[in-house]
Amino acid sequence: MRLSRRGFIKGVGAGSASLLLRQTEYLYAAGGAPPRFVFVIEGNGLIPRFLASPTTIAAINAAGGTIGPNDYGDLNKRYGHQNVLNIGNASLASAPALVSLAPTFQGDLSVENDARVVLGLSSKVAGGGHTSHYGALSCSQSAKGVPSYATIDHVLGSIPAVRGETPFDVVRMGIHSSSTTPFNYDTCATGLHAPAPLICNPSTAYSNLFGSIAAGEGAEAFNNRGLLFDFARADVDANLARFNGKPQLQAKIEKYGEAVEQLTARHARILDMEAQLTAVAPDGPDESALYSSVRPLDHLEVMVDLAKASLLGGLTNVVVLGSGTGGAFDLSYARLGYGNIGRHDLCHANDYTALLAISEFHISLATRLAKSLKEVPEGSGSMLDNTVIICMSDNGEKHHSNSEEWPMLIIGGSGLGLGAGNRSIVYPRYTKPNNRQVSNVFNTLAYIAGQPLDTFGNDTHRVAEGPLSEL
Amino acid sequence: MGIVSRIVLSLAAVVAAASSSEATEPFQTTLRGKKVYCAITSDGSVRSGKLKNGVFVGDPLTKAIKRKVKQAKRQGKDAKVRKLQKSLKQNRSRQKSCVDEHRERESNPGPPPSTREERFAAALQVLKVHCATCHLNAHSNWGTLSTEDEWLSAMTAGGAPLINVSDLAASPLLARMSLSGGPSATMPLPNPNASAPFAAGHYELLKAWILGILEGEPPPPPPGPDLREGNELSSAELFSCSGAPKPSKPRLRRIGNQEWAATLGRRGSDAEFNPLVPDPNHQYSTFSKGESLGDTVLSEYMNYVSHSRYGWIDGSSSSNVPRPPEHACMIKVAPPTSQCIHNFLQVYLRNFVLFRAPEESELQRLQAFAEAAVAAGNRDTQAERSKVMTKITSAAWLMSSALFRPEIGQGAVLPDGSRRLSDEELGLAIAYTFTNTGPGNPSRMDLARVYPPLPRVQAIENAVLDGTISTPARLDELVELNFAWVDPTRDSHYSEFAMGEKLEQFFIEWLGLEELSTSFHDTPSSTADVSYYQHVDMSFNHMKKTAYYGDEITLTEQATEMIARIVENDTDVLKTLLTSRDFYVPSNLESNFNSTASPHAVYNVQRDIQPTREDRWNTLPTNERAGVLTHPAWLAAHSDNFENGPSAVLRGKWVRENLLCGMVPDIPINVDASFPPSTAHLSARERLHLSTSGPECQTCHALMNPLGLPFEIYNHAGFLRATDHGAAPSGQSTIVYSGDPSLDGPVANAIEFSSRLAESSLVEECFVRQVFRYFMGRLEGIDDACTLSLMRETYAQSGGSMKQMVQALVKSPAFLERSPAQVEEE
Repeated sequence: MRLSRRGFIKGVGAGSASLLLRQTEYLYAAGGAPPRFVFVIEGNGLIPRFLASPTTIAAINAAGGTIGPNDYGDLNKRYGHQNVLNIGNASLASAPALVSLAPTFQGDLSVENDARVVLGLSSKVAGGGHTSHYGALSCSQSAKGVPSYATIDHVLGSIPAVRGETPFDVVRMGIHSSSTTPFNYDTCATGLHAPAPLICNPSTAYSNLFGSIAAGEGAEAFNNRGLLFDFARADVDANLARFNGKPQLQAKIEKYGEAVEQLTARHARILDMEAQLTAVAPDGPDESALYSSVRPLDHLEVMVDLAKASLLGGLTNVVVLGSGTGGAFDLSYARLGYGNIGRHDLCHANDYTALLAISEFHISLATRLAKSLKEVPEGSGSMLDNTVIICMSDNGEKHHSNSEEWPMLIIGGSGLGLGAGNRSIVYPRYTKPNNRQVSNVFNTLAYIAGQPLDTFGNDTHRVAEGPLSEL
Repeated sequence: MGIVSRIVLSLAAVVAAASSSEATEPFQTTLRGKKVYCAITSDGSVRSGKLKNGVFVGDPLTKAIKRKVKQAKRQGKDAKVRKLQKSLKQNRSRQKSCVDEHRERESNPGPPPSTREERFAAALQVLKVHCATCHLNAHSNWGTLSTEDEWLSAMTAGGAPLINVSDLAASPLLARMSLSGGPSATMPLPNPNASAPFAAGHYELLKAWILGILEGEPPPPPPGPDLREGNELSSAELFSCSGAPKPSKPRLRRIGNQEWAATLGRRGSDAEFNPLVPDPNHQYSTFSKGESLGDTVLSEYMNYVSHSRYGWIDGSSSSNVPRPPEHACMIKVAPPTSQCIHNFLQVYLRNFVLFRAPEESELQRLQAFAEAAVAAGNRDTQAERSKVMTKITSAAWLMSSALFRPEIGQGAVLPDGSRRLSDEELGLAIAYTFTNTGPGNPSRMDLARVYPPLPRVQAIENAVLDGTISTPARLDELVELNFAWVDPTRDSHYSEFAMGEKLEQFFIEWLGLEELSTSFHDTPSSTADVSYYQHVDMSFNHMKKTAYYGDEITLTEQATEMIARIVENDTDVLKTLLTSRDFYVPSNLESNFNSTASPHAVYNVQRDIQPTREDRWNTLPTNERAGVLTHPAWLAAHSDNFENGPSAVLRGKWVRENLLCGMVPDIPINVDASFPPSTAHLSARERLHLSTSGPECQTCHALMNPLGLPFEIYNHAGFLRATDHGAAPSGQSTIVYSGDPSLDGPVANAIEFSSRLAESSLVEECFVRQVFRYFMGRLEGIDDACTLSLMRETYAQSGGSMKQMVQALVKSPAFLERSPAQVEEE
């Protein structure tokens, strides 16, 4: 059922005037809107100070903190409070990296009142260093290519109320330090030893999601997949006949056949969604030069557009967007004027100006997505009210992280039960009894998705189980 | 009083705490010739009393009399005090006589009752007190069973009936009882809550009930198959062979992720991340039971299947390797003819996908797909034409015959109706049992040979082609080629000893070393004597996984180097594995970073280790290490996050399940397995004692803790402890319930314990079982008894040669033949 036709954001987010989103329309049914979740993960550290507004720092210092004007590293070691600080009217947009929460051009929306900054969360069990691999989203120790638990995106995407009738449980995309790598395997997982890769090639992502309505290579790849399913189905039928009378031998082939049938149905469903996908589809590789750009951040921008369109078109309700995650962090940020130096060297040079620009850019993509969703009415509010966008890092607080602090920006979700915005919630530092962990945030997400979950990942390091009431 | 009533009363003593009923039916005893009545109260205690009008009235409570004594004393009523004190004394005597009577009745429940109903009632109480208090798992929620029918349909964890109606005396319920004298008789474990230990009388009650179950019943149906498998079966049962080794059941086996990548010649590439990962619930990655492709896996597989194009692209002009004619006509600008497509597919399927000649129907289906792909494709550029080829090869690798290899028995029919594996089935079986690749891979298709051809793998295909693969001599040769060898040309960081990839994987999986990369160790060097602990800790953490900066091999590889040397020597393999002090220690001199500067510290080696093979081989002190169970890799893989955590439980559980082939019940759902708070003064051992010494805990923890405590001389990360919370480190333990009397008794530490394990016949049998499981790709069942006996005999007669034991398995009917049964393993 069509709800309304709305224009989407007309302007730009921070960083570039090319960050235009297409006019589109929203087609989701009114009422009964599903919970949606978007994770924007910056690889190799998100410095907490960048998310702390002056009001927030003043409140931390008033509670015994010792944060000086130039303190960027290990912010949590300067916290002195013993109980959580719930700082209202925190003027979040005045935080160094959160400028884009406020309108950035005439007519732009503000999402400051939809946003919360969470500081002081720890996740030691995920391990630190350059990356925690799957640990950031699974709250467990892992190694490159070897996850030990399912990540939160898989958990949420598996909840029936979240999955609904969408063809994809989760859409995962991201940019990689190696521009030719098609997948990033080290961020998400569906379980022990089962990586779930981020698609790094925006054209592949486009083909997977919008190939059914595309032209050119995207369409070809999508159609080929359909033909392969047809071939596999015929092959399964023939093999089943071969094992006729041996049901136990047939069982495995039958299960494979069922999987083929399910993907065929998904394929058909995407084809059936032609009208709504056409309405929301972003520019494809044949229309946008960003797909063939050599600047990784251009690809990330495309992926944000694909994410937005996937949510609007009902292709999925869970998205992961990674930027140099899982160890692939040594990106070149040519788009931001840092083309000749990678992230590794920027970090070792303590170039906070550059690192702030990078984090600010990532957050601007999230706020751009948030603002575009805020423009879409849904129920008595907006689509943003039913969508939670989380910006966080894949290793915690810095380049060589110790996992003692994982700052987060959480936008949207007021319709799902998240509390008021423009707040900073600051937990006591790691080792204090009232310290809380990343896993508690994920518990909170599961709760608002309708599936109470008090544990998550490797709980041997738990401080407290369950969701965060402050959120 | 009937025997049933007596037992009911006894039971009440144990379980009545949960009951709201008043005192149960009284029983009598005598005190100095006088009758005393006794009953079990609602709180489970025994109480003396009297009968008034047939109703039991308990004696005044001691507490109440004492209160009256105090009151009388306060009031100065001396006579009353004396009277009350006398009454108190009498009460105590009467009470004691009741308790003694109760205990006597509990210990000696008397002869079994005469009717079936009474026998069941008596047996039920024994089961509840001595069995169901521990068997609370999903497989055996015995605490909820109350009727005879429920017990008759109760199952063991392995899916076998607890009571075998076709051979009642052989019922697992009886056979597992220690008093049965049976080979697997270790039950019941003591229940400290029971008012009397399990005794012969209890066993007789169970036996009488089970043997009399068919009283008044129609004749039993013919016996069904014994479905028990793995650790459900005792070693004694499995090594009691009567007859000849039996064939296995037919099955299909889905290709695994590593096998897929290697078969496509894509080792080390993204292809290794394909989603065909083994079921993590299986003990070994080779198990195939129930493994197929669900929609999630298939969806992901679609993103990888294009790797299949490498099978023919490598034979390109750019690699200076001319394409054979079957390739060339497919890539030319002119569209390939039907004949060209036919020829190509035949070669491609034969050499790269199926490793057998394709059936005509398979060929026809793929040909139709390929012709449509060619017709729809663009041929203007080589890139466009390559896309068409990728589409065709992707289809080939979606064929169910490509994803599932058969072990059906398509060869000769044997007199008993069994069938041999065909040569092609056997070629695939040998190839994937000992290597990750299909037979003849890098294949004949992979002409560029991106990876050097492996003669040991090529030999498998050759043996299929020349028809000799099923001969014993050729099977021996193929196992030999792919087992273990000396290779001085290996990367210099590794030792000269190498194992075949599947053999190495066996040791990694059996020892659980794959846990290492995902395990978390807080401050790894805690309690150890190290300098620059931060460097040591970082070095250790890097070694656990493929390091970013490390020059040395990983901790797991350090363990497999040690093992490779033992396996290559192939003498007394198991004993040497459990006692060797020859460790492959990484060099500390190759790193330029503090974070990888001290990889050797975990071995407690203080000197510099030169980056040479000779210097990396170290014989460690006799009082520090002995065998793989003292290797840091094993110790760290089976540990808690913290040095003062319950690593002993995890290590003990591993020993119980993987070295003794015993079972530990799952943790009961009502148990909060939490540890007391960490303090500076409490060691792991002390905390473990505080949290698991309760009688309700010990019923299960007695199976684990004693086997894990010897390893407390090491911390959670496998460092030798220098001190343990203010005391000297201790590995002392008393081994109980091991199933092998030679193992039981006190041990000083892990080194003595390892030596004792090395001499145990039970451990040796378990090792044979583990080898069987991994290389057969399934758990052992009772039908495998003669195969296992053959393997063990071969091992013993060959002086402990693991290779000869595996060769015996590969030549046995279990590996080579499939039974005619239509019921396969799934």
